[in-house]
Amino acid sequence: METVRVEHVDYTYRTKYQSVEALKDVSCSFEDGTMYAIVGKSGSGKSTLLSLLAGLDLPTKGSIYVEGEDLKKMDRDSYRRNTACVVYQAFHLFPLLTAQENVMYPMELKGMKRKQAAVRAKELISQMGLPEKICRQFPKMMSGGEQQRVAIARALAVEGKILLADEPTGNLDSENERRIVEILYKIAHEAEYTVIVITHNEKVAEAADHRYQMEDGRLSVLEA
Amino acid sequence: MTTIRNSLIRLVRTPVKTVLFFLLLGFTVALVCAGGNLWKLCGDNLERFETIFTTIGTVEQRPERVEQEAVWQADENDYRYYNSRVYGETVSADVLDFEGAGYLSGPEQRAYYEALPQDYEMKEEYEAGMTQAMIIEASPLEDCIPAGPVEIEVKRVLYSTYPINVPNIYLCDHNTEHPQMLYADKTYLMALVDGWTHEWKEKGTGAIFEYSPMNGPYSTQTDAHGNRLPTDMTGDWIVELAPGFYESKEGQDWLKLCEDFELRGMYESFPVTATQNLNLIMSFYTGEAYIADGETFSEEDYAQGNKVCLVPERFAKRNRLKVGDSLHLALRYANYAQSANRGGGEGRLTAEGEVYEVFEDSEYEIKGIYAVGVASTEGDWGYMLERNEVFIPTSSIQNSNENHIAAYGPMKGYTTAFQIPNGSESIENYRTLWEAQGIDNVEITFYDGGYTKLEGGLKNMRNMALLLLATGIVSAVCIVIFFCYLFIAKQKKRTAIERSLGMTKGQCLSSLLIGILLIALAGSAAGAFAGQAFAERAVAGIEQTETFSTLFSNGAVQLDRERKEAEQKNDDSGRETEAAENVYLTDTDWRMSVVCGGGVFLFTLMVAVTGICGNLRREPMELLATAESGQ
Repeated sequence: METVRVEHVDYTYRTKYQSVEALKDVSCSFEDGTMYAIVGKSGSGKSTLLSLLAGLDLPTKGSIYVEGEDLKKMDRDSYRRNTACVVYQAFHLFPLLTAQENVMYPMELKGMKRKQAAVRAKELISQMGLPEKICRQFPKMMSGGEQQRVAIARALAVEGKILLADEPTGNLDSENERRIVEILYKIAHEAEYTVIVITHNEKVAEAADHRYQMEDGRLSVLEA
Repeated sequence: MTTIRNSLIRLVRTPVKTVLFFLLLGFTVALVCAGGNLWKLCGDNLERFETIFTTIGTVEQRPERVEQEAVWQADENDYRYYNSRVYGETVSADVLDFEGAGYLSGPEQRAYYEALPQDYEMKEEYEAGMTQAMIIEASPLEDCIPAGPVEIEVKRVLYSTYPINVPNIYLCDHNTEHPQMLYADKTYLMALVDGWTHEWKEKGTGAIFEYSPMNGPYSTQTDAHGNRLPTDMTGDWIVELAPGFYESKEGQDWLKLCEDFELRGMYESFPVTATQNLNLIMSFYTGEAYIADGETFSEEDYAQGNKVCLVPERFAKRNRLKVGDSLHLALRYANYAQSANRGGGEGRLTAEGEVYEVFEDSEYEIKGIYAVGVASTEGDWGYMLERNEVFIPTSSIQNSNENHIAAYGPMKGYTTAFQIPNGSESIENYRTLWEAQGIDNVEITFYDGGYTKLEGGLKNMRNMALLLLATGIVSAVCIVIFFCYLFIAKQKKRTAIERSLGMTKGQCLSSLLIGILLIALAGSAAGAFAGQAFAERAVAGIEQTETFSTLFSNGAVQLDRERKEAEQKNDDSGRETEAAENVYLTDTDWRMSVVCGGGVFLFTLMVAVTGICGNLRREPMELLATAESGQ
């Protein structure tokens, strides 16, 4: 079932000296239970598209529909709190909160009680294959792979439908890379998420059900 | 709640940064509060002292020279020598009217007015009979030279303070080395006063009591400019009677003199001093004289010339007068040469030999009764008050006194004064302008009651307070900006993560703001308390070390009186009051601390909100798409 539809989206931003067309007439659609990979060179517009899909910004032209509703008309804070979540290359956990508190954060934002959130956070961390002691550790005490898994657990804590991942394996070794890809794949196929992964990594892209190529702001389907 | 809790958790987990911000902010707020409080306290104290202290200048014309005056003493058969000041041309008080002088009162060359005694009692009962003045016709029992006591027969009494119950009295021309010969077959008209005896040393109270000459008819009347009016009266104490003498001008002068004595006796009129400001009178300025009942003159009394007066306590008691009663004042002449206490040298008659007529006859309301305490006034006794001296506002005299000026003389410290604003600058400015006038035979002496010293100390302290305040403000600004940078600007990624997790901008703002504001609030409050306590200790320290002379210090007298009144209140109510404890105001104003602490807190809020808004303006993806981890 189609979760996200992108229709003729343009995005132009202005720097101090010039205006840059980051996306040009991008159209595509994403379905639930599917993992997508978007590949492309740096500066091709991949992260901009992700930003628009995460509702952090709005297209200059065109529309993005989430479950048939125009993102422009939605409460985008609520959209991020309840529907879409993002995983970053640099993990971006809160360094002063433990792994468990990081995962609890979005749940508490949604109004879940602290105790309930703590239990659910533990479950999610466990689902990521991490030992329980990780719960009490601060990000600096964890390896990159562990941090990324906690970041994915935090994304899942949103209990949304769309998971956006921006170079999720960029800072990881091959073993951790493999694990993360497996997790993302599982999330798509078992939890029925629409998983959209932006990556340079061929192996990660190959694991996706569908691949898109982003080049100079234009999106095209990449044949297998 | 989640936002607040997470914000607090973050604070607890960065203890060094949190504690450092708290301590540094507290310290700077303490500086700001201490500076602010000290600055305000100094200002309040200066304002207080401004109302308590007054600065006056007294003006004295310097004598051209001092001469030794030899006065013959018949009983000692020798001269006694006295220093006598010789003045050149009298300098008019008009020289004090120059541009930029900035007088608050005056300058005034005060006159005291002779007021008829009416029915008022001038002396205490025990003082009766102290001075006997007389104008008599008399002949010596034998031809004689009155170089020592000679017996004379009283033939007719034209005036006598008290009845003369004996046919003969003794006369001695005490202060003349070679008195004129008196003949037994002639009758003389003479003005005499008691007071001398040659035999006192040998016989004590059994000695022969003798009378000496006093001035006969004379006049010291001047015009409005102080120029002596010409007169043919010589003031001789004795004149040989000839037929038709009393029809002559000279005889008429003697009769007028008698008439004047009948009007007011020897000393039985009372002096009325007119002033523009009671503070210009040294006894009141120093606090030696003070209002014991009722109140002093108001600004309105001076400005509108209200018919109000202040009377001495003993005079009021003797005449059973109280505040609100009426006092009949019949003014006859003015004496600009002396103060009332030093007066009496003026001639009793006008230049034409007439008795001075009353020129101002009015009822005055007694507004206050003053008492004179232990004299602290040093120097010339002209500064002291005459015992029956009544004070009135100058402007209450409505009729011109120009034909009633019995004496005029050089400006003296006790007759001429002015008030200028307090402060060393004011005095220096006046001195500079005065020196530019080029009048070097007039000396001006300033009395400020110790204000300049207090002002200097307080101004130094106020400058220190300003420095403290400025340092505190600059430090506070730097510390707030630095820590806002650490707590906010360096937290851009945190905000971006929070935004990507669906936090609203408002929640992101609270998330960052609550923590910093909590520390700022705690630091500001602690600093405000500490600053206030420091300011109180600093002022208390100053009060303990500052001393000032009470000589010529109306401020000290006023403060002392305030203290006594407060102590009296304490006795009555059992409560302590401020003035009983302190000369200085030492209580800091908590509102100042609130303003200072609150100001720093609000500044922190402003910087923090500005910083957070800056964070929120940045695109989350722009910040998060990098490979660096956020906070």
